[in-house]
Amino acid sequence: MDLILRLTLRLLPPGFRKEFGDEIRELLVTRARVIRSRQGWVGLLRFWGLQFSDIAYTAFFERQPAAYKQNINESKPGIFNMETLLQEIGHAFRSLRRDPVFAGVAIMTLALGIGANSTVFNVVNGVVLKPLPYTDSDRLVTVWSELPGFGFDSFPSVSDAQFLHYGERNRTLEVMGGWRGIPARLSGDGNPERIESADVSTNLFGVLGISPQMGRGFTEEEGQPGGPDVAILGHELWTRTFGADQGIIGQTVTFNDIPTEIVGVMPEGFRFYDPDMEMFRPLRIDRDNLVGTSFGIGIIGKLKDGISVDDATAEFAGLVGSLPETDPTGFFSASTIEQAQLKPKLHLMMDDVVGTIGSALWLLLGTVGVVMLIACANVANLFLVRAEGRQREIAVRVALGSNRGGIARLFLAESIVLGLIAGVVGLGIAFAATRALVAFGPEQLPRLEDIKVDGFVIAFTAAISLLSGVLFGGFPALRHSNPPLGSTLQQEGRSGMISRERQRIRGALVITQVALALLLLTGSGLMVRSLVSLKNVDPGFDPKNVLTFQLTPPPTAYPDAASVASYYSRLLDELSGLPGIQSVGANTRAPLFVGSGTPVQPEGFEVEPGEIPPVIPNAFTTPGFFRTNGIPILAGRTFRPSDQADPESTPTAVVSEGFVERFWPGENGVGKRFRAGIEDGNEDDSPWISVVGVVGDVRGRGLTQDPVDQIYFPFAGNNRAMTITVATINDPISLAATLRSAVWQVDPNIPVTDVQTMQKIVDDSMASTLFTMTLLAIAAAVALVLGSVGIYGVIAYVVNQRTREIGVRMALGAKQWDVSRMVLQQGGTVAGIGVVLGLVAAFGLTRLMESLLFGVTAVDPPTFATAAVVIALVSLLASYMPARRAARVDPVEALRGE
Amino acid sequence: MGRKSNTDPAATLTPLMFQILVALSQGERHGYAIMQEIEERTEGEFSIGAGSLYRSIKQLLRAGFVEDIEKEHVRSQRRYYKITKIGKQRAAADARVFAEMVAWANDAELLDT
Repeated sequence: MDLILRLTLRLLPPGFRKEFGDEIRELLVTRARVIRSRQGWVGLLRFWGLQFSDIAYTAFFERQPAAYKQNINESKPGIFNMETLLQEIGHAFRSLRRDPVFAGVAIMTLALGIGANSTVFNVVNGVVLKPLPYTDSDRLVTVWSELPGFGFDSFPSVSDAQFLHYGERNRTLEVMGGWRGIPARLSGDGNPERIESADVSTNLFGVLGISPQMGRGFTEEEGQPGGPDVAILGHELWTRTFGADQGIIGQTVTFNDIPTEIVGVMPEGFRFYDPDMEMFRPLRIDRDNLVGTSFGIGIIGKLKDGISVDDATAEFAGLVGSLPETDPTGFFSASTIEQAQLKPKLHLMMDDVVGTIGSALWLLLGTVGVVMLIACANVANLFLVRAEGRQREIAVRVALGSNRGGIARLFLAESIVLGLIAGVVGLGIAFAATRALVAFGPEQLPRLEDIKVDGFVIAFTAAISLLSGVLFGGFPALRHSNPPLGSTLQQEGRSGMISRERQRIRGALVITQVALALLLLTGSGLMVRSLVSLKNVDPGFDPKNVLTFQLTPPPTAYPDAASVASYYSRLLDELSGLPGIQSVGANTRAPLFVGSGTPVQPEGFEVEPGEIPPVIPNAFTTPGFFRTNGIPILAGRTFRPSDQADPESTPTAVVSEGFVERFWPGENGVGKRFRAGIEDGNEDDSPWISVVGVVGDVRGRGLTQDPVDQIYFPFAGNNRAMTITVATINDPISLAATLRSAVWQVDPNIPVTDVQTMQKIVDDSMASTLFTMTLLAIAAAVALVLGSVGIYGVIAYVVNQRTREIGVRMALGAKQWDVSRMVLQQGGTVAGIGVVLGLVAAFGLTRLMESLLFGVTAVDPPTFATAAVVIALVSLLASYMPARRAARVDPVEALRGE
Repeated sequence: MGRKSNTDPAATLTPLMFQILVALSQGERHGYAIMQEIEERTEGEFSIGAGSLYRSIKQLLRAGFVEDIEKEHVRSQRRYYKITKIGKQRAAADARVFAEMVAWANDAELLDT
């Protein structure tokens, strides 16, 4: 509201604004607070409606020449009594009803703009502006870690040792809790269910300010090692799996084969920081057996009042130095922490939740704001045309004693009425569009549940409706409320002259429209180019007709590596025997995801003692994985059964092309050796691993990231959770049910989760680019249509006004072509200036969207050129129609009108 | 144009200007307090626009009926306004005219309806 108010105050002449602007602003903001608490939203809307129009009025009178300035009696300033206002509004309604085409076009144009703005604002409001549904959510923070020395960018968790240390030593957080995600299997009667669960510190729900709806939270004792096995259910899990059983408290469920007592149910609508988490158990950390290497704990804390995120980050960074030696012989000793350059960094929880989508949303809001400006310019043009047609009416009113205020009020009342009607229609559009947006928006769009039309959105819509009314109604009000009385009445009927000044205003409006449309077209062009580049990226694997799903055989039934290996081998046999299947393979994870890394020492690539060896992501893989995913074998071979049978005595690996290039440039890599899992420079205790094959690089961190060097070890049951990939002959989804029952054929107790096609995984990774592109393209299309309508309107109007002049020219021998060219030239000039200005604006503004682009720079010349040509062509087309009409002017007819 | 300003001795003050002067004759006030007081005294009959309020204040300042005072101990940028001697005279004169008119309206039994 403050921004809108500031903008509205700019209507006031500079001298007045300088003297009183700040006071007015302070007064209104204070007053609005009082009004809101006393009279609610409705009163507040009425208040702002009155105040905005009053500022427009004041601006109008303050901008008059000195002679008028002090004469206030004329227009009853100051008191804006409701009665006069209602009279004006009634009059405006009647007047607009007499001109339904004008009113209809104006309302639809504005409603489109307002609807688009409300929709996007609604999303911005829900995702970015609304506070998170926790107590004091603006002070909630998370702690991220960076290990630049190991080549790890920031990730949102800390080690157990850090968690305890920060918890005890920090002075900047009021409270601090932690959590660790645990994939879980709920079993009992019926099919086993895979769920996401979190172990949470017993105070964590208190940090968030949420207590269970039923039952209780965790006790201190339950957070101690060896405490009782208890759990709290999320509301959705409780409803879905337990049928919202009121007697659930005290019942026992089987959680990862451990009998666990339910002690509470969270309230409906509660979503954890990671919204996938559906079940919670107490977090237990055994202080005597801390492991420094695992960074598995997410911290959620609440800043003390007055402490900034940066303050707290500085404090946490200082605490790293005093981290206890938790693992002195192992990988993470104090010296490794130093080498890794471990750096904690605190984030506001809100920024975490919103993530990068925030910038895309602000960009979209800016975009639809531009569409709104174009719509306003169009309607202002319509209004000017209409006002020109009403000069006689106005002159008569003035002659009959109506004053400047009366005339200005006439225009303003009409434009505000139009704006408000359009606002209502726009709100309807926003309701519908929000639904569509939520339904078709990318799955990554966070906080979808929070996107609802609320009082704030309605107030925003009302404000932009009113503001647009004042904005486009202001032009004719300023222009026409001071008609040259005598001349207008005399000249009526002689249309030979048009006011140059008015023409200039309309020209300027159209130039603005063209420039803004070009800006949007360029923006959406850049997004299209990004999407094309994304689609052209070679991911390093072939996602076509590949289905993936995840399995985790439970440790109770499969206690050791051998039993896990034999389970997977039976399973893969079973699956590959199914009809319609080309090949199957298992890997620690699907191709577009990169796993944890292991430090390696390649042969001939020396690492100084004490220096950290390179860390390379690794995975456990069955031989069929490469073929199934179309990852090419460039040299050597894939695994043989013998590699899998005894990985201990003759360890083998397949590595990616990038790995070979990095460590053994110029060689083909097969037969080379490396050590893995080296502990703190202790070279000799890990065996040499032979490279038996080299495969193509895969973009493991996503399509927009560079390919990742990768080691594939033969799978021998040493990893429990595996991703199965299946290449099918036809559409893979049709085989999903068959595959599932085949899995349960082997063991009915293992849940099948995350069934997806590889194609969907690839598409999802492009979803937010596609989403932004689609919305930008729609905005650009609307802008293009509105812009061309604007050009058409102005040129057609000019032709109309100059009919007589054209008639004279043709009577004097001008050819049809000359006349057309004259008109086209006029359209071309306006469009040309608009294009130049638009290019300049685009050059300055597309940088803002740099982070959303891929494979194209923000000032991509082909995109800029294409957009400019499109706008130029559309503009010429829009002037062509009136030009043709001009050429057909019959001189006799034109002059007879005289 | 030869028109007379509303702050000319011969012209009538606008109702808002009159109300501002009356409000200030009870003591120094800033804009918000003036607005609040007028709205309360007229029981919400008058909704005052902030723009109009300051426009009237500006004219009263120019006419010398009102002056603004700097208050060091006040932290905000709110300015306090104070009625001048001639402002007081003028408001009183207008008030007397109004009082006579109201008395007349009362005699005509307008206020009873």
